Amino acid sequence: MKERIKDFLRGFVGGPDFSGSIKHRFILENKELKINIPNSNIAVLPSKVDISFPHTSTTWFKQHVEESYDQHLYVHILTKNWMYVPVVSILPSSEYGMLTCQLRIKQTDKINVLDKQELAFFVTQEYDDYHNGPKGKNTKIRKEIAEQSSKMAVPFETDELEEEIAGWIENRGKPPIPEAIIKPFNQIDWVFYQEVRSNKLSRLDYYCLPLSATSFLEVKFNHDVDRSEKHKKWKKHALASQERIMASITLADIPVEQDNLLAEHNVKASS
Amino acid sequence: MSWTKLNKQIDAHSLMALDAHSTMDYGVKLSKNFPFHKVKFTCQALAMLSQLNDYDQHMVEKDIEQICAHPNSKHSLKHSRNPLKRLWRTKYPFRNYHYLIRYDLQDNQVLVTDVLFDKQLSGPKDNFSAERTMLYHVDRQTSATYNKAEDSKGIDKIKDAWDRDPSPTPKINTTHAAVNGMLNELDKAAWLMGTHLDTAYQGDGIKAYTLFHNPRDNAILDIAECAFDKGQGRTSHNAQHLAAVLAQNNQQGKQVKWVAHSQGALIFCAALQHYRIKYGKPLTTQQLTIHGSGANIEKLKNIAHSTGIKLNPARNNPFDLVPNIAGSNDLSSSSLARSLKFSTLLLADPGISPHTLPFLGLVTYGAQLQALGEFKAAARVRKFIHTLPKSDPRR
Repeated sequence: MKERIKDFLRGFVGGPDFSGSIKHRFILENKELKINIPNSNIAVLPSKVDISFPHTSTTWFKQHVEESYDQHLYVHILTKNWMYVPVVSILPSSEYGMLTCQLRIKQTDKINVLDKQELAFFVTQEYDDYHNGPKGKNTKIRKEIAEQSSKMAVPFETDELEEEIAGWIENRGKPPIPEAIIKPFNQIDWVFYQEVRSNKLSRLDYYCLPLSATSFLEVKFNHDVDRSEKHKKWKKHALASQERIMASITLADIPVEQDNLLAEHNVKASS
Repeated sequence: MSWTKLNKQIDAHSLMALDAHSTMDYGVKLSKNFPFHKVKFTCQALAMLSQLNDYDQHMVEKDIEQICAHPNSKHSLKHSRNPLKRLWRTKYPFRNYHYLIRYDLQDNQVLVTDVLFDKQLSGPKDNFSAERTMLYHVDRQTSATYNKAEDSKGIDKIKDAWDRDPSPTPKINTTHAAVNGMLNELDKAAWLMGTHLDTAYQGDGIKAYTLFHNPRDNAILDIAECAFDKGQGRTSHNAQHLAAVLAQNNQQGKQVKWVAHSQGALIFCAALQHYRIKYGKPLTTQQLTIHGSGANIEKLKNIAHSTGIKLNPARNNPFDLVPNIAGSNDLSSSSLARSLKFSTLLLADPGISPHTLPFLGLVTYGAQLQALGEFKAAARVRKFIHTLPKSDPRR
């Protein structure tokens, strides 16, 4: 009853439930990654989860990389979803939105990943380069508008054309994103950037942590808004939960004795 | 939006004084009461108007009449560099329509020089109810299709199969088109209707389609809109607009395969009724498939028959409250019980809901519920399958 009253007061049900959580552990070569994932209102069948990720191996990366249609090339570690729904719901598809947390590993040889300032510049530059490159959405929009202008009786002047293109990119393309910044959680400095649009409430938040000179861990949070008029109700809860999940992440060296056991286990498994 | 020369004597800037008869020569329908003596069009503006469907032409015409009545109104924006050039942001029941009218004022006459898409009003909006009813060209991004039970990762891949930032288009340039249901903002409608088309026309290898986007308001307004289209003798703006799109396709001899989902079926039904009264010519080049029908299928069959559009078999999940009860397609006590038992799942994520994704058969739906952890619901589905004869197409 107390819970129900709390739900009515805050105006939603669901989201990450920290009254219970599962501690996940992953082996990232010589380091152990731990994360606390709070309970979810979305039930799923338990599926097989890999625990060991040889993130510096390019062969392993190529074998496991996910299919992608944008600049994000990664190996998936873990995904968890939390739905925000009305306290009383009668209509179909009336969920408020969903928060998703995804852990993944990325590789690049374009920079020294260990330099966090360089990594911060790199992640936003990759976004710009992809979407303004040959396969990018912005390139497609530029072509379309230039073609339309050339067919008009009075084509746009150069500055008008640029203004028109920028307007359409803002509307349905991939407009520039804010610069990446450093955000500390639990004494770890993460590189934080967002893919955000002025005409969409849904957004993607990314936190990156270098693992080696060529690989880094990325934690992606997707704030997927299904009902814009209800977003106010749950957005603060989603952000607070996101930060609490980030604060639960630890990355530490594997103790030597455990490391030996693991090495032995790997040798046995490969023989 | 291209300007094409009508003949060698005139160019894009040529001003045309028109009357009720001569407009027809340029493929533009203007009503007899239009203030022809106050307005001149450039060839460019006429060419653009002729590209629009009947409904869009009518909306733009109403706004030009407004310009004549109030040429210096606050809706008129002056050009940043040339104050003599003006723009008119069109008005509409939802505050404004999505075309910009570019015009000059000379000698007490309105010279309409161009009609353009208003980029501020098209596309996704942070406030969903600010999105407009309009056509969007949606491109496929990946080959992922929904043809088997999927877990949440699989459903995410299906969502990414379609470009969720589509481009507005004044007419249908694809072989496939779709009308979405209620509570679908543009982002959701773009991927969901692509998925429905894939299922409805399997084997067509759809690379792009046109979305007739029925924007969402809040739940109460969306239900009111459904009730409005369901009522006899009333036609919503959505339905009038869709009827004009059907008429334009028919006039241009386009072969278009439609799918309408949920409230989209209601809009389609009302549009066909409106089409029958206003246009009348048989829609022999177009076909329609209904998914999760918000309309009564028998009623749709009758209207489809009278308008000549080919109606393919519908796909309705027997556990879905929308076709069963809202569409009055199965009001039996067992259907009522099934629908009510699954009504809480209607608002669940797309994979679990009996209404959101296309219905691929009960076996697939049961397997999907199982994969997504809804064991109790999956057991209910399996139990229901056993009660059906082996030849039942819903299995």
